[in-house]
Amino acid sequence: MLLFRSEEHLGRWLVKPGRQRGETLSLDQQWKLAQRWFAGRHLPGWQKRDAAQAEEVFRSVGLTSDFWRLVS
Amino acid sequence: MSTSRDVRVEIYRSFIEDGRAPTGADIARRLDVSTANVIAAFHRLHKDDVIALAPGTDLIWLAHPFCALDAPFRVRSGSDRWDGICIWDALGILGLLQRDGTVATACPDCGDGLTVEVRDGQLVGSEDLIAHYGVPAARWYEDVGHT
Repeated sequence: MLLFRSEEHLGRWLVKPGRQRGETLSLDQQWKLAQRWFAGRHLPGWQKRDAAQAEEVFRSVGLTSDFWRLVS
Repeated sequence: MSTSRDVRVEIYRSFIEDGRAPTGADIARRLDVSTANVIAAFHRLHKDDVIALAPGTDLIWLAHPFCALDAPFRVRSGSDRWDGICIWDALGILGLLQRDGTVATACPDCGDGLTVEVRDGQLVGSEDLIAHYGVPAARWYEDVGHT
């Protein structure tokens, strides 16, 4: 999960062999995902999400394509 | 036998309060259990993808979102600093701690420095910046370093 200055910079970086475009997130999406994903991970009551719960977090920030699918 | 939960909480306490990864012996002393028990918990947590041990060792490399080693995403909040291996983890440190701060890294294309700021819980500026995910979610833990 790399951070690029802009879509233009990502496009240039992807030109080199062996690099494939995946999916991009706005930084606002990325911030929301980071907050929701790691909330409480350091606390005693935290429990690892199952695949369906993880997909729900993705959906909550607008990530709905097959790229984010964990449940087969 | 120390539970994985107790060891996990102690790992995160060390990253947050001490700014570093604990060793098995560190946690054994704090929990008053044997180092072997703590190391066994490390490996259970590694198997469950909660932490990542450095290959072939009993040393913590990652306790997401924290990284034990210098990494490309440097997080600062007040006088504290941590490292993250990706933008998700770096922002995750500020999110987990519910603290304001900055993330500094470099654009992989041009090499110029990029800084993201969280102030009063909100991103400041950064409108054009984008995060790129090259590996589909289902394959993230095949090679967490590459992902």
